[in-house]
Amino acid sequence: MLEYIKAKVADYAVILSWIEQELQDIETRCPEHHPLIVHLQSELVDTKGLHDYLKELVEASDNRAISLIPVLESFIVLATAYYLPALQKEGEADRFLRRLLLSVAKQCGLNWVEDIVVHLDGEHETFSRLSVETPLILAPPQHAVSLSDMPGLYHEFGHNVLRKLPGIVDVLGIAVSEHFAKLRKGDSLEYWEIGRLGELFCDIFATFVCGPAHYVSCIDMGIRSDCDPFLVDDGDAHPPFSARVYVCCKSLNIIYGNEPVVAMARDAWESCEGTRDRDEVFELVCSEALLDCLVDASLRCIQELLPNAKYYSTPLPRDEELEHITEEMSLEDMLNRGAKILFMYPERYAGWEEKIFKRLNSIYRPDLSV
Amino acid sequence: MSTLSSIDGKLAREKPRLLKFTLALIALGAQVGGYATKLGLQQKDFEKGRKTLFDVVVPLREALDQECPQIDFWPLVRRMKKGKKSMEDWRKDLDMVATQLQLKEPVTDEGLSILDEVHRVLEAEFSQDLRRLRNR
Repeated sequence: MLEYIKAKVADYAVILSWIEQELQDIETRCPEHHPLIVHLQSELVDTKGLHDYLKELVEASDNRAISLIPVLESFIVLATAYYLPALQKEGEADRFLRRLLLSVAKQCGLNWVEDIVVHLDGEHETFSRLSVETPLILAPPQHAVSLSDMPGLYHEFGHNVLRKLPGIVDVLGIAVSEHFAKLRKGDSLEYWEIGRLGELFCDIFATFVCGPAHYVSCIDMGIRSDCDPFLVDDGDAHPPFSARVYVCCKSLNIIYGNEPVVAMARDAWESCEGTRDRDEVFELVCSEALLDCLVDASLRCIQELLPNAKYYSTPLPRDEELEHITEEMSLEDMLNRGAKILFMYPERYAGWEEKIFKRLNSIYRPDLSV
Repeated sequence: MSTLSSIDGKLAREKPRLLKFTLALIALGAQVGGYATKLGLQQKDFEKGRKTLFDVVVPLREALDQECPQIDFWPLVRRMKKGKKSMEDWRKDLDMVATQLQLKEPVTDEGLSILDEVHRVLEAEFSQDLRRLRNR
Protein backbone atom coordinates (compact mmCIF):
# COMPACT_ATOMS: atom_id res chain seq x y z
CA MET A 1 0.00 0.00 0.00
CA LEU A 2 2.85 2.40 0.74
CA GLU A 3 4.02 2.12 -2.87
CA TYR A 4 0.54 3.11 -4.04
CA ILE A 5 0.47 6.09 -1.68
CA LYS A 6 3.94 7.14 -2.89
CA ALA A 7 2.55 7.17 -6.43
CA LYS A 8 -0.46 9.23 -5.30
CA VAL A 9 1.84 11.74 -3.62
CA ALA A 10 3.51 12.35 -6.98
CA ASP A 11 0.13 12.42 -8.77
CA TYR A 12 -1.38 14.95 -6.35
CA ALA A 13 1.70 17.19 -6.64
CA VAL A 14 0.99 17.59 -10.35
CA ILE A 15 -2.78 18.12 -9.89
CA LEU A 16 -2.43 20.64 -7.07
CA SER A 17 0.14 22.61 -9.00
CA TRP A 18 -2.16 22.66 -12.03
CA ILE A 19 -5.10 23.87 -9.91
CA GLU A 20 -2.90 26.65 -8.51
CA GLN A 21 -1.91 27.78 -12.00
CA GLU A 22 -5.50 27.69 -13.25
CA LEU A 23 -6.70 29.78 -10.32
CA GLN A 24 -4.03 32.39 -11.05
CA ASP A 25 -5.02 32.51 -14.72
CA ILE A 26 -8.72 32.80 -13.89
CA GLU A 27 -8.10 35.62 -11.46
CA THR A 28 -6.22 37.56 -14.13
CA ARG A 29 -8.96 36.93 -16.67
CA CYS A 30 -11.96 37.45 -14.34
CA PRO A 31 -11.01 39.90 -11.57
CA GLU A 32 -14.66 40.04 -10.45
CA HIS A 33 -14.18 36.55 -9.02
CA HIS A 34 -11.39 37.68 -6.69
CA PRO A 35 -13.34 36.79 -3.50
CA LEU A 36 -14.03 33.28 -4.78
CA ILE A 37 -10.44 32.75 -5.94
CA VAL A 38 -9.17 33.85 -2.52
CA HIS A 39 -11.33 31.20 -0.83
CA LEU A 40 -10.29 28.51 -3.30
CA GLN A 41 -6.62 29.43 -2.84
CA SER A 42 -6.99 29.22 0.91
CA GLU A 43 -8.48 25.71 0.58
CA LEU A 44 -5.67 24.85 -1.79
CA VAL A 45 -3.08 25.92 0.78
CA ASP A 46 -4.72 23.66 3.40
CA THR A 47 -4.82 20.79 0.92
CA LYS A 48 -1.15 21.29 0.05
CA GLY A 49 -0.37 21.13 3.78
CA LEU A 50 -2.13 17.75 3.93
CA HIS A 51 -0.26 16.64 0.84
CA ASP A 52 3.07 17.50 2.53
CA TYR A 53 1.98 15.54 5.59
CA LEU A 54 1.03 12.59 3.40
CA LYS A 55 4.60 12.64 2.04
CA GLU A 56 6.03 12.63 5.58
CA LEU A 57 3.81 9.73 6.60
CA VAL A 58 4.97 7.68 3.63
CA GLU A 59 8.59 8.41 4.55
CA ALA A 60 7.82 7.22 8.08
CA SER A 61 6.18 4.09 6.58
CA ASP A 62 2.89 4.88 8.35
CA ASN A 63 0.11 2.84 6.75
CA ARG A 64 -2.50 5.21 8.18
CA ALA A 65 -1.35 7.66 5.47
CA ILE A 66 -4.03 6.14 3.23
CA SER A 67 -6.69 7.68 5.44
CA LEU A 68 -5.72 11.19 4.29
CA ILE A 69 -6.60 10.37 0.69
CA PRO A 70 -10.43 10.81 0.91
CA VAL A 71 -9.93 14.24 2.49
CA LEU A 72 -7.49 15.29 -0.24
CA GLU A 73 -9.85 13.90 -2.87
CA SER A 74 -12.77 15.89 -1.50
CA PHE A 75 -11.05 19.15 -2.45
CA ILE A 76 -9.67 17.87 -5.75
CA VAL A 77 -13.05 16.52 -6.94
CA LEU A 78 -14.87 19.73 -6.13
CA ALA A 79 -12.18 21.92 -7.69
CA THR A 80 -11.56 19.92 -10.85
CA ALA A 81 -15.06 18.59 -11.57
CA TYR A 82 -17.12 21.61 -10.58
CA TYR A 83 -15.42 24.92 -9.78
CA LEU A 84 -12.73 25.02 -12.47
CA PRO A 85 -15.01 23.99 -15.37
CA ALA A 86 -17.53 26.62 -14.26
CA LEU A 87 -14.90 29.34 -14.09
CA GLN A 88 -13.06 28.29 -17.24
CA LYS A 89 -16.23 28.13 -19.33
CA GLU A 90 -18.07 31.08 -17.83
CA GLY A 91 -19.99 32.71 -20.64
CA GLU A 92 -22.17 35.75 -21.11
CA ALA A 93 -25.34 33.91 -20.03
CA ASP A 94 -23.65 32.62 -16.86
CA ARG A 95 -22.54 36.15 -16.01
CA PHE A 96 -26.08 37.44 -16.58
CA LEU A 97 -27.53 35.00 -14.08
CA ARG A 98 -24.65 35.65 -11.67
CA ARG A 99 -25.47 39.37 -11.54
CA LEU A 100 -29.16 38.64 -11.15
CA LEU A 101 -28.56 36.15 -8.32
CA LEU A 102 -26.15 38.43 -6.50
CA SER A 103 -28.86 41.05 -6.25
CA VAL A 104 -31.52 38.49 -5.25
CA ALA A 105 -29.30 36.90 -2.58
CA LYS A 106 -29.24 40.11 -0.54
CA GLN A 107 -33.03 40.40 -0.67
CA CYS A 108 -33.29 36.83 0.61
CA GLY A 109 -31.21 37.67 3.66
CA LEU A 110 -28.01 36.01 2.43
CA ASN A 111 -25.91 39.04 3.35
CA TRP A 112 -22.73 36.98 3.60
CA VAL A 113 -22.65 36.16 -0.13
CA GLU A 114 -19.71 37.99 -1.76
CA ASP A 115 -19.60 36.31 -5.13
CA ILE A 116 -21.44 33.59 -7.04
CA VAL A 117 -20.21 31.55 -9.95
CA VAL A 118 -23.00 30.26 -12.17
CA HIS A 119 -22.64 27.35 -14.56
CA LEU A 120 -25.65 26.94 -16.84
CA ASP A 121 -25.21 23.23 -17.28
CA GLY A 122 -27.90 20.85 -16.13
CA GLU A 123 -30.06 20.53 -13.03
CA HIS A 124 -30.08 22.96 -10.11
CA GLU A 125 -27.20 22.28 -7.72
CA THR A 126 -25.35 24.40 -5.18
CA PHE A 127 -21.88 23.96 -3.79
CA SER A 128 -21.08 25.99 -0.70
CA ARG A 129 -18.68 23.61 1.02
CA LEU A 130 -15.44 25.32 -0.01
CA SER A 131 -16.85 28.71 0.84
CA VAL A 132 -20.33 29.71 1.92
CA GLU A 133 -19.60 33.30 0.85
CA THR A 134 -18.88 32.33 -2.74
CA PRO A 135 -21.19 29.49 -3.79
CA LEU A 136 -21.17 27.73 -7.13
CA ILE A 137 -24.65 27.35 -8.58
CA LEU A 138 -25.43 24.99 -11.45
CA ALA A 139 -28.66 25.68 -13.31
CA PRO A 140 -30.46 24.73 -16.53
CA PRO A 141 -29.29 26.67 -19.62
CA GLN A 142 -32.80 27.97 -20.37
CA HIS A 143 -32.48 30.37 -17.44
CA ALA A 144 -30.68 32.66 -19.91
CA VAL A 145 -33.95 33.26 -21.77
CA SER A 146 -36.79 31.91 -19.64
CA LEU A 147 -38.23 32.07 -16.14
CA SER A 148 -39.17 28.41 -16.36
CA ASP A 149 -38.07 26.54 -13.21
CA MET A 150 -36.38 29.67 -11.87
CA PRO A 151 -38.11 29.46 -8.46
CA GLY A 152 -35.85 26.44 -7.92
CA LEU A 153 -32.95 28.86 -7.52
CA TYR A 154 -34.45 29.98 -4.20
CA HIS A 155 -34.38 26.35 -3.07
CA GLU A 156 -30.67 26.38 -3.94
CA PHE A 157 -30.19 29.49 -1.80
CA GLY A 158 -31.70 27.42 1.00
CA HIS A 159 -28.75 25.02 0.73
CA ASN A 160 -26.39 27.95 1.11
CA VAL A 161 -28.32 29.08 4.21
CA LEU A 162 -27.91 25.62 5.73
CA ARG A 163 -24.17 25.75 5.13
CA LYS A 164 -24.00 29.15 6.83
CA LEU A 165 -26.35 28.18 9.67
CA PRO A 166 -25.82 24.43 10.22
CA GLY A 167 -27.64 24.64 13.55
CA ILE A 168 -30.94 24.77 11.63
CA VAL A 169 -30.65 21.09 10.72
CA ASP A 170 -29.86 20.27 14.35
CA VAL A 171 -33.09 22.02 15.40
CA LEU A 172 -35.06 20.04 12.80
CA GLY A 173 -33.31 16.83 13.87
CA ILE A 174 -34.41 17.39 17.47
CA ALA A 175 -37.99 18.00 16.30
CA VAL A 176 -37.95 14.69 14.39
CA SER A 177 -36.36 12.80 17.30
CA GLU A 178 -38.91 14.13 19.77
CA HIS A 179 -41.79 13.35 17.44
CA PHE A 180 -40.78 9.72 16.98
CA ALA A 181 -39.77 9.31 20.63
CA LYS A 182 -43.34 10.20 21.59
CA LEU A 183 -44.63 7.58 19.17
CA ARG A 184 -42.02 5.05 20.38
CA LYS A 185 -40.94 4.61 16.75
CA GLY A 186 -37.26 5.50 17.13
CA ASP A 187 -36.22 3.56 14.01
CA SER A 188 -38.30 5.86 11.79
CA LEU A 189 -36.12 8.86 12.52
CA GLU A 190 -33.30 7.39 10.45
CA TYR A 191 -35.26 8.26 7.31
CA TRP A 192 -34.99 11.94 8.18
CA GLU A 193 -31.23 12.14 7.79
CA ILE A 194 -29.43 15.46 7.36
CA GLY A 195 -29.88 15.51 3.58
CA ARG A 196 -33.66 15.01 3.58
CA LEU A 197 -34.26 17.44 6.40
CA GLY A 198 -32.12 19.91 4.47
CA GLU A 199 -34.17 19.42 1.31
CA LEU A 200 -37.40 20.00 3.21
CA PHE A 201 -35.99 23.15 4.80
CA CYS A 202 -34.94 24.43 1.34
CA ASP A 203 -38.53 23.99 0.09
CA ILE A 204 -39.84 25.93 3.09
CA PHE A 205 -37.20 28.65 2.72
CA ALA A 206 -37.85 28.99 -1.03
CA THR A 207 -41.61 29.36 -0.46
CA PHE A 208 -40.98 31.85 2.35
CA VAL A 209 -38.92 34.18 0.15
CA CYS A 210 -40.45 33.48 -3.27
CA GLY A 211 -44.10 32.89 -2.37
CA PRO A 212 -46.70 31.16 -4.57
CA ALA A 213 -44.30 30.95 -7.53
CA HIS A 214 -42.25 28.39 -5.63
CA TYR A 215 -45.32 26.47 -4.49
CA VAL A 216 -46.58 26.26 -8.08
CA SER A 217 -43.10 25.31 -9.31
CA CYS A 218 -42.84 22.49 -6.75
CA ILE A 219 -46.21 21.12 -7.87
CA ASP A 220 -45.13 21.43 -11.50
CA MET A 221 -41.97 19.46 -10.73
CA GLY A 222 -43.95 16.83 -8.81
CA ILE A 223 -46.44 16.28 -11.64
CA ARG A 224 -43.70 16.22 -14.30
CA SER A 225 -41.59 13.74 -12.33
CA ASP A 226 -44.44 11.22 -12.72
CA CYS A 227 -43.35 9.34 -9.61
CA ASP A 228 -45.51 8.10 -6.75
CA PRO A 229 -45.94 11.23 -4.59
CA PHE A 230 -46.23 9.08 -1.46
CA LEU A 231 -43.21 6.88 -2.13
CA VAL A 232 -40.80 6.89 0.82
CA ASP A 233 -37.63 5.98 -1.02
CA ASP A 234 -34.44 5.43 0.99
CA GLY A 235 -32.41 5.89 -2.18
CA ASP A 236 -33.79 9.36 -2.93
CA ALA A 237 -32.17 12.35 -1.27
CA HIS A 238 -35.54 14.12 -1.37
CA PRO A 239 -38.64 13.42 0.70
CA PRO A 240 -41.76 12.27 -1.23
CA PHE A 241 -43.34 15.00 -3.35
CA SER A 242 -46.54 14.89 -1.34
CA ALA A 243 -44.56 15.94 1.76
CA ARG A 244 -42.67 18.61 -0.17
CA VAL A 245 -45.81 20.15 -1.65
CA TYR A 246 -47.50 20.01 1.76
CA VAL A 247 -44.72 21.96 3.50
CA CYS A 248 -44.62 24.51 0.67
CA CYS A 249 -48.36 25.07 1.05
CA LYS A 250 -48.01 25.45 4.83
CA SER A 251 -45.16 27.95 4.37
CA LEU A 252 -47.14 30.28 2.13
CA ASN A 253 -48.21 33.57 3.59
CA ILE A 254 -51.89 33.35 4.59
CA ILE A 255 -52.77 36.20 2.23
CA TYR A 256 -52.54 33.68 -0.63
CA GLY A 257 -55.33 31.52 0.79
CA ASN A 258 -57.77 32.65 -1.93
CA GLU A 259 -55.27 33.35 -4.69
CA PRO A 260 -56.63 31.75 -7.90
CA VAL A 261 -53.28 30.43 -9.17
CA VAL A 262 -52.63 28.78 -5.80
CA ALA A 263 -56.09 27.18 -5.87
CA MET A 264 -55.58 26.02 -9.45
CA ALA A 265 -52.19 24.45 -8.65
CA ARG A 266 -53.62 22.81 -5.51
CA ASP A 267 -56.46 21.27 -7.56
CA ALA A 268 -53.98 19.92 -10.10
CA TRP A 269 -51.87 18.44 -7.33
CA GLU A 270 -54.83 16.87 -5.56
CA SER A 271 -55.85 15.22 -8.85
CA CYS A 272 -52.33 13.86 -9.19
CA GLU A 273 -52.31 12.57 -5.60
CA GLY A 274 -55.76 11.05 -6.15
CA THR A 275 -54.32 8.51 -8.57
CA ARG A 276 -52.16 6.90 -5.86
CA ASP A 277 -52.68 5.52 -2.35
CA ARG A 278 -50.88 6.57 0.79
CA ASP A 279 -49.38 3.61 2.55
CA GLU A 280 -48.58 3.09 6.23
CA VAL A 281 -44.94 4.00 5.78
CA PHE A 282 -45.83 7.40 4.35
CA GLU A 283 -48.42 7.99 7.06
CA LEU A 284 -45.82 7.28 9.72
CA VAL A 285 -42.73 8.94 8.26
CA CYS A 286 -44.43 11.95 6.66
CA SER A 287 -47.40 12.48 8.96
CA GLU A 288 -49.01 15.91 8.88
CA ALA A 289 -48.20 16.29 12.59
CA LEU A 290 -44.48 15.86 11.90
CA LEU A 291 -44.47 18.05 8.78
CA ASP A 292 -46.37 20.81 10.63
CA CYS A 293 -43.78 20.64 13.35
CA LEU A 294 -40.93 20.91 10.81
CA VAL A 295 -42.59 23.85 9.05
CA ASP A 296 -43.02 25.70 12.36
CA ALA A 297 -39.43 25.03 13.40
CA SER A 298 -38.09 26.08 9.98
CA LEU A 299 -40.10 29.30 9.85
CA ARG A 300 -38.96 30.13 13.37
CA CYS A 301 -35.33 29.58 12.37
CA ILE A 302 -35.70 31.74 9.26
CA GLN A 303 -37.31 34.57 11.17
CA GLU A 304 -34.81 34.43 14.07
CA LEU A 305 -31.60 33.70 12.19
CA LEU A 306 -32.26 35.49 8.90
CA PRO A 307 -33.89 38.74 9.95
CA ASN A 308 -33.25 40.25 6.51
CA ALA A 309 -35.10 37.52 4.65
CA LYS A 310 -38.41 38.97 3.50
CA TYR A 311 -41.52 36.84 3.83
CA TYR A 312 -43.03 37.18 0.36
CA SER A 313 -46.38 38.84 0.85
CA THR A 314 -47.04 40.93 -2.24
CA PRO A 315 -50.62 40.39 -3.42
CA LEU A 316 -50.71 39.11 -6.99
CA PRO A 317 -52.33 41.71 -9.25
CA ARG A 318 -55.70 41.12 -10.80
CA ASP A 319 -56.02 40.25 -14.45
CA GLU A 320 -55.75 43.68 -16.06
CA GLU A 321 -52.64 44.71 -14.05
CA LEU A 322 -50.91 41.37 -14.23
CA GLU A 323 -48.84 42.01 -17.35
CA HIS A 324 -47.78 45.47 -16.28
CA ILE A 325 -44.00 45.68 -15.84
CA THR A 326 -42.71 48.27 -13.39
CA GLU A 327 -39.25 49.59 -12.49
CA GLU A 328 -39.53 48.37 -8.88
CA MET A 329 -40.39 44.77 -9.68
CA SER A 330 -38.18 42.20 -7.97
CA LEU A 331 -37.38 38.81 -9.49
CA GLU A 332 -39.86 37.30 -7.02
CA ASP A 333 -42.58 39.65 -8.34
CA MET A 334 -41.74 38.61 -11.89
CA LEU A 335 -41.83 34.91 -11.04
CA ASN A 336 -45.15 35.21 -9.23
CA ARG A 337 -46.77 37.18 -12.01
CA GLY A 338 -45.21 34.79 -14.51
CA ALA A 339 -46.68 31.78 -12.71
CA LYS A 340 -50.11 33.37 -12.67
CA ILE A 341 -50.01 34.36 -16.35
CA LEU A 342 -48.65 30.93 -17.39
CA PHE A 343 -51.27 28.95 -15.52
CA MET A 344 -54.27 31.28 -15.89
CA TYR A 345 -53.60 32.81 -19.34
CA PRO A 346 -51.07 30.58 -21.07
CA GLU A 347 -51.67 32.20 -24.47
CA ARG A 348 -50.29 35.49 -23.15
CA TYR A 349 -47.21 34.02 -21.50
CA ALA A 350 -44.60 33.96 -24.30
CA GLY A 351 -45.07 37.64 -25.16
CA TRP A 352 -44.96 38.69 -21.52
CA GLU A 353 -41.81 36.67 -20.80
CA GLU A 354 -40.09 38.27 -23.78
CA LYS A 355 -40.83 41.69 -22.33
CA ILE A 356 -39.58 40.61 -18.91
CA PHE A 357 -36.30 39.41 -20.39
CA LYS A 358 -35.86 42.72 -22.21
CA ARG A 359 -36.12 44.38 -18.82
CA LEU A 360 -33.78 41.88 -17.10
CA ASN A 361 -31.28 42.19 -19.95
CA SER A 362 -31.28 45.96 -19.70
CA ILE A 363 -30.22 45.67 -16.04
CA TYR A 364 -28.07 42.54 -15.90
CA ARG A 365 -26.67 42.34 -19.43
CA PRO A 366 -25.32 45.85 -19.89
CA ASP A 367 -23.15 44.72 -22.82
CA LEU A 368 -26.19 43.63 -24.83
CA SER A 369 -27.82 47.05 -24.73
CA VAL A 370 -24.71 48.85 -26.10
CA MET B 1 -33.62 18.43 -8.38
CA SER B 2 -30.59 19.16 -6.30
CA THR B 3 -29.16 15.86 -5.11
CA LEU B 4 -25.58 17.06 -5.11
CA SER B 5 -26.42 20.15 -3.08
CA SER B 6 -27.41 18.07 -0.08
CA ILE B 7 -24.44 15.74 -0.53
CA ASP B 8 -22.15 18.76 -0.61
CA GLY B 9 -23.82 20.06 2.54
CA LYS B 10 -23.41 16.71 4.27
CA LEU B 11 -19.75 16.48 3.27
CA ALA B 12 -19.25 19.97 4.68
CA ARG B 13 -20.45 18.71 8.07
CA GLU B 14 -18.53 15.44 7.90
CA LYS B 15 -15.14 16.63 6.64
CA PRO B 16 -13.88 18.60 9.67
CA ARG B 17 -14.76 15.74 12.01
CA LEU B 18 -13.14 13.12 9.78
CA LEU B 19 -10.01 15.19 9.24
CA LYS B 20 -9.54 15.95 12.95
CA PHE B 21 -10.16 12.31 13.85
CA THR B 22 -7.72 11.09 11.18
CA LEU B 23 -4.92 13.44 12.25
CA ALA B 24 -5.45 12.58 15.91
CA LEU B 25 -5.41 8.86 15.18
CA ILE B 26 -2.22 9.22 13.14
CA ALA B 27 -0.61 11.10 16.05
CA LEU B 28 -1.56 8.47 18.63
CA GLY B 29 -0.53 5.68 16.26
CA ALA B 30 2.87 7.31 15.77
CA GLN B 31 3.23 7.62 19.55
CA VAL B 32 2.52 3.93 20.03
CA GLY B 33 4.68 2.99 17.02
CA GLY B 34 7.61 5.04 18.30
CA TYR B 35 8.07 7.22 15.19
CA ALA B 36 6.30 10.35 16.39
CA THR B 37 9.49 12.45 16.38
CA LYS B 38 9.96 11.70 12.68
CA LEU B 39 6.63 13.45 12.14
CA GLY B 40 7.55 16.32 14.43
CA LEU B 41 4.84 15.37 16.94
CA GLN B 42 5.14 16.38 20.58
CA GLN B 43 3.39 15.64 23.88
CA LYS B 44 0.90 18.47 23.32
CA ASP B 45 -0.11 16.88 20.00
CA PHE B 46 -0.89 13.59 21.76
CA GLU B 47 -2.94 15.36 24.42
CA LYS B 48 -4.83 17.30 21.80
CA GLY B 49 -5.30 14.11 19.79
CA ARG B 50 -6.69 12.22 22.79
CA LYS B 51 -9.20 15.00 23.41
CA THR B 52 -10.26 15.06 19.75
CA LEU B 53 -10.83 11.32 19.73
CA PHE B 54 -12.59 11.40 23.09
CA ASP B 55 -14.96 14.10 21.77
CA VAL B 56 -16.09 11.76 19.00
CA VAL B 57 -16.00 8.44 20.85
CA VAL B 58 -18.09 9.53 23.84
CA PRO B 59 -21.04 11.09 21.96
CA LEU B 60 -20.95 8.14 19.55
CA ARG B 61 -21.14 5.74 22.50
CA GLU B 62 -24.02 7.76 23.96
CA ALA B 63 -25.79 7.81 20.60
CA LEU B 64 -25.97 4.01 20.64
CA ASP B 65 -28.38 4.13 23.57
CA GLN B 66 -30.15 7.45 23.04
CA GLU B 67 -33.67 7.78 21.77
CA CYS B 68 -32.82 11.24 20.36
CA PRO B 69 -29.14 11.23 19.37
CA GLN B 70 -27.56 14.23 17.70
CA ILE B 71 -28.36 14.17 13.98
CA ASP B 72 -24.76 13.80 12.73
CA PHE B 73 -24.55 10.45 14.53
CA TRP B 74 -27.67 8.91 12.94
CA PRO B 75 -25.92 7.59 9.80
CA LEU B 76 -22.97 6.33 11.86
CA VAL B 77 -25.19 4.41 14.26
CA ARG B 78 -27.13 2.97 11.32
CA ARG B 79 -23.85 1.90 9.69
CA MET B 80 -22.69 0.28 12.95
CA LYS B 81 -25.99 -1.57 13.34
CA LYS B 82 -25.68 -2.94 9.80
CA GLY B 83 -22.08 -4.08 10.37
CA LYS B 84 -20.87 -7.49 11.53
CA LYS B 85 -19.88 -6.36 15.01
CA SER B 86 -22.63 -6.62 17.62
CA MET B 87 -23.88 -3.48 19.33
CA GLU B 88 -22.93 -5.04 22.65
CA ASP B 89 -19.32 -5.34 21.47
CA TRP B 90 -19.36 -1.77 20.21
CA ARG B 91 -20.62 -0.52 23.59
CA LYS B 92 -17.93 -2.46 25.46
CA ASP B 93 -15.13 -1.36 23.10
CA LEU B 94 -16.13 2.29 23.04
CA ASP B 95 -16.35 2.38 26.84
CA MET B 96 -12.90 0.83 27.06
CA VAL B 97 -11.27 3.21 24.59
CA ALA B 98 -12.99 6.24 26.14
CA THR B 99 -11.40 5.29 29.49
CA GLN B 100 -7.98 4.94 27.85
CA LEU B 101 -8.29 8.32 26.16
CA GLN B 102 -8.71 10.00 29.52
CA LEU B 103 -5.39 8.66 30.81
CA LYS B 104 -2.03 10.35 30.31
CA GLU B 105 -0.29 7.27 28.88
CA PRO B 106 -0.42 6.09 25.27
CA VAL B 107 -3.46 4.06 24.23
CA THR B 108 -2.91 0.30 23.92
CA ASP B 109 -2.72 -1.57 20.61
CA GLU B 110 -6.21 -2.85 21.32
CA GLY B 111 -7.42 0.70 21.90
CA LEU B 112 -5.82 1.83 18.66
CA SER B 113 -7.50 -0.95 16.75
CA ILE B 114 -10.91 0.11 18.12
CA LEU B 115 -10.17 3.69 17.09
CA ASP B 116 -9.26 2.37 13.63
CA GLU B 117 -12.69 0.71 13.51
CA VAL B 118 -14.42 3.96 14.45
CA HIS B 119 -12.36 5.70 11.80
CA ARG B 120 -13.54 3.18 9.20
CA VAL B 121 -17.17 3.99 10.07
CA LEU B 122 -16.57 7.74 9.72
CA GLU B 123 -14.59 7.29 6.52
CA ALA B 124 -17.13 4.91 4.96
CA GLU B 125 -19.91 7.48 5.37
CA PHE B 126 -17.73 10.30 4.00
CA SER B 127 -16.42 8.24 1.07
CA GLN B 128 -19.91 7.11 0.11
CA ASP B 129 -21.01 10.75 -0.15
CA LEU B 130 -17.84 11.67 -2.02
CA ARG B 131 -18.46 8.89 -4.56
CA ARG B 132 -21.93 10.29 -5.22
CA LEU B 133 -20.37 13.69 -5.92
CA ARG B 134 -17.82 12.11 -8.27
CA ASN B 135 -20.42 10.05 -10.15
CA ARG B 136 -22.41 12.99 -11.39
